Amino acid sequence: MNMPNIRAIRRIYAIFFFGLFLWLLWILDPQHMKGYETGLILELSPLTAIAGFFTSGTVYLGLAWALPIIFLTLFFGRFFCSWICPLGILNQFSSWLFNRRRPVDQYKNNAYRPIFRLKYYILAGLLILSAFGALQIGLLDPIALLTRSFTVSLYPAINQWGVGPYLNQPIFLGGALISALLIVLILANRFITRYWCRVLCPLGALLGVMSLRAPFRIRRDVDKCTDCNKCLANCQGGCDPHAEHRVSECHACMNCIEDCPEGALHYGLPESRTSAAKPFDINRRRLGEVAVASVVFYPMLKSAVSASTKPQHQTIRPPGSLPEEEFNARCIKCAACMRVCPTNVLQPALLGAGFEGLWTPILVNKIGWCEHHCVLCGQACPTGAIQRISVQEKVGEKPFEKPVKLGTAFFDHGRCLPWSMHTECVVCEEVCPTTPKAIWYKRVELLKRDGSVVKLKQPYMAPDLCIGCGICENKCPVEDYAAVRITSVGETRSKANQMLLKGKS
Amino acid sequence: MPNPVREPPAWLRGGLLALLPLLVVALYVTGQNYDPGLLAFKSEEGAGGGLAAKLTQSPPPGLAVMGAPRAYDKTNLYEYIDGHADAFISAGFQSLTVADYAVDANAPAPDLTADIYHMGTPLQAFGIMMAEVTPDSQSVTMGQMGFVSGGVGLFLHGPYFVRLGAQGPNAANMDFPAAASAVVAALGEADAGKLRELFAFPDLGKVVRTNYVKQDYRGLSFFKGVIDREFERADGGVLTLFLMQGAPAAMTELERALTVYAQEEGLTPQITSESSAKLIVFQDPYEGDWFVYLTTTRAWGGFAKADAALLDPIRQLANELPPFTPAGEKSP
Ligand code: SF4
Ligand code: SF4
Repeated sequence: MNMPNIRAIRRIYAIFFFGLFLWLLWILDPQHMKGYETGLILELSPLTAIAGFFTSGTVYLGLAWALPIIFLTLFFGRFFCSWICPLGILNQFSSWLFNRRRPVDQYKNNAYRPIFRLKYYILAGLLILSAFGALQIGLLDPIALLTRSFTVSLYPAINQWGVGPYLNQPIFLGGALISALLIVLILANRFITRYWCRVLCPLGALLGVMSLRAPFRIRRDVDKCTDCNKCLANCQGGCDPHAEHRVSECHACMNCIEDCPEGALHYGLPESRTSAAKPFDINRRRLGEVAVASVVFYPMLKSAVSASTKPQHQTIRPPGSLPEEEFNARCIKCAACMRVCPTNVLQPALLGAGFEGLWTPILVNKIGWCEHHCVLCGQACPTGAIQRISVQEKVGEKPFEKPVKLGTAFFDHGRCLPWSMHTECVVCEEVCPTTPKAIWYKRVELLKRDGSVVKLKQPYMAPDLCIGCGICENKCPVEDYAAVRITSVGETRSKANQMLLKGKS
Repeated sequence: MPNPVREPPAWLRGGLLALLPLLVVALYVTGQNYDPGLLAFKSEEGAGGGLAAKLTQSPPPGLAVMGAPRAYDKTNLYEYIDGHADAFISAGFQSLTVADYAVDANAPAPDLTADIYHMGTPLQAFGIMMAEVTPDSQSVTMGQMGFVSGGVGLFLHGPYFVRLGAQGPNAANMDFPAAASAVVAALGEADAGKLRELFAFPDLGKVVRTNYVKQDYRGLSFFKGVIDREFERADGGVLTLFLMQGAPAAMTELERALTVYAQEEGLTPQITSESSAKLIVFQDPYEGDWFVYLTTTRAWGGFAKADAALLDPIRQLANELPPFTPAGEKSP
């Protein structure tokens, strides 16, 4: 049997890993996830592991998967981008699709451009912020970005046609913005092949830096090379294999080897007539400017109102979440938790939690509620921002003393039907899942405007029993702005965001 | 001309290809290793299954089945009983099968809907049924215990709690006992002995009411999963007896909690040890006289004077009954 050539093997890998990414995200629901390592592709990202290490001082267990990638990159170059990265593979495929029937000058399109340096500056900015404790890599880490985009926009869109992976059609806060960004990124491939990977991707930049001294790389035999430039025709990285090779840009896609009619290119160790490599192309002055800008930006970020500088009532985090500061130091905004949540309550925050919290998960109880016996988001989270807790721990069964509290419900008497409209309603009391129920009522007799007497049950809240699951807000028949609403106060994870319930001693 | 392309050696390419199936196998194997209670929150018993077929084969007399019965488990129960699912899940819910029936199978809406909840154990089924029974319900012979109120019939059959809901123009004439018999036939035999054990009350008169209290019976946190029964006695008086059952450890814990309670409230209970039981009698300034008769797996009690007329039938029953087996019981 003839062994497939290396380009074909790379394509098999690309299809395999892209399929694996789609499948792992598809099965990320209560019915199908079983014990599958659904976060595997997210956990492979060295950027997540390194930046997370900077912010939290630890490498979360799953992220140890990134170590083999780092190790292999040091020796074999930036292969991850065209062999494994799902966004890279998607970009490559869409570039090919866009340019297939257009008279594109592939040689020009695939030549190196100075704008490719931008990704190194982006990487530097993000890593400096991480070193200070602000984890913003999730905005641009390609795997987190793609997971978020698919969870919040593509899969829900497919679901509209009745074939999607969601049990119920989900909706997401600001989902259109996330969709629009993905579309722009894909469309950009029409102008520069793999625009994202070459120009913007901080993970690509990190892997590029790691691959600078890789002994295994594309080598050109200057004696055999006839300068036909055919190796440029399908080069994915734009790394000049026809001249002095730019190692940090090379994706090890192997297209150049297959395209060279002279056999002048090979992937491996140097030989006697191998051409030299181009030094790392980065402008130190620009790098310094980015570093200064990041250092200045950090205290600005911390001077803004956010859920970590002052508790925000609407920043209700999933059960098992770390305290806000640590949560932000771990959450990569991947939305895996939003994908697994069976009630659609988990939503990507907009600016309510502060800029740092953009696209991190919050509970929006108008949309869903936290199922009493569900702890799936903690299982899905690849970084430990939401810790893996057991059902017993969540509901406070022995040996745990208290249930996990997400916030507290408050009645708005001006909107509550029995309190202000003389109308019988105990929906909130009925659905409250705690034992004993946090919502209770008093029977009252009220005089109506026409002089008649009506007997009603008026609901009350026992704040020490309320766990903030939000089902009362969700089911309240006052549809638009419920008469009972949850705020984050009293949440288990925070020492500061508490009410004085016992009175002053 | 030979192909000049310099490929990596064949063994290396073969090795790269071989890695993928290895990764698939590793993923599959780790995928099968999980805690089903934590992750799948799936029902222990596949919802529907053979039951759906039996319900379709033998509909209640005069009714035809409309479409295939639907099945729900813990993952999607909330789709059916929106907002109320958690009350069922925390009471031990396993699966739900819903069958729709109509006089005319082509009618736009069903005349009768049967919701058949598998609640894990008879006690859990009883508990959830009692939470659904309304004060105006009439006791009716359906399954092992049944009630009808308006267009709704509720009954118990082993670990199943069944709700029959009649609607539309034929609702007023709905024959609930006949419909219940059809459902019971589909469910198969229930263990009658289990029910007698579950409602282990002595015969103290006419049963007025039976209740299930999941937690904090009479405001006392140590009384959990309690069944209480109200009797009308021969002299016309009313008496309430309660029963809590569990593993020996649960009864030891109850005894300890009673002692702590007595200390905290400043009470001095009279404790009498019998051959395999213990009688604890309280004289409580707020609750009046009350007692608990504790065996290794059961505790009977009453808020009444512990006289022989009351205690002797309890003692006799305690001797007759096998120890309560809490197997499969979800702690309330
Ligand atoms: S625990 Fe709550 S928030 Fe998390 S996935 Fe389950 S329902 Fe959603
Ligand atoms: S909290 Fe959610 S969005 Fe953040 S890292 Fe975990 S799974 Fe991803």
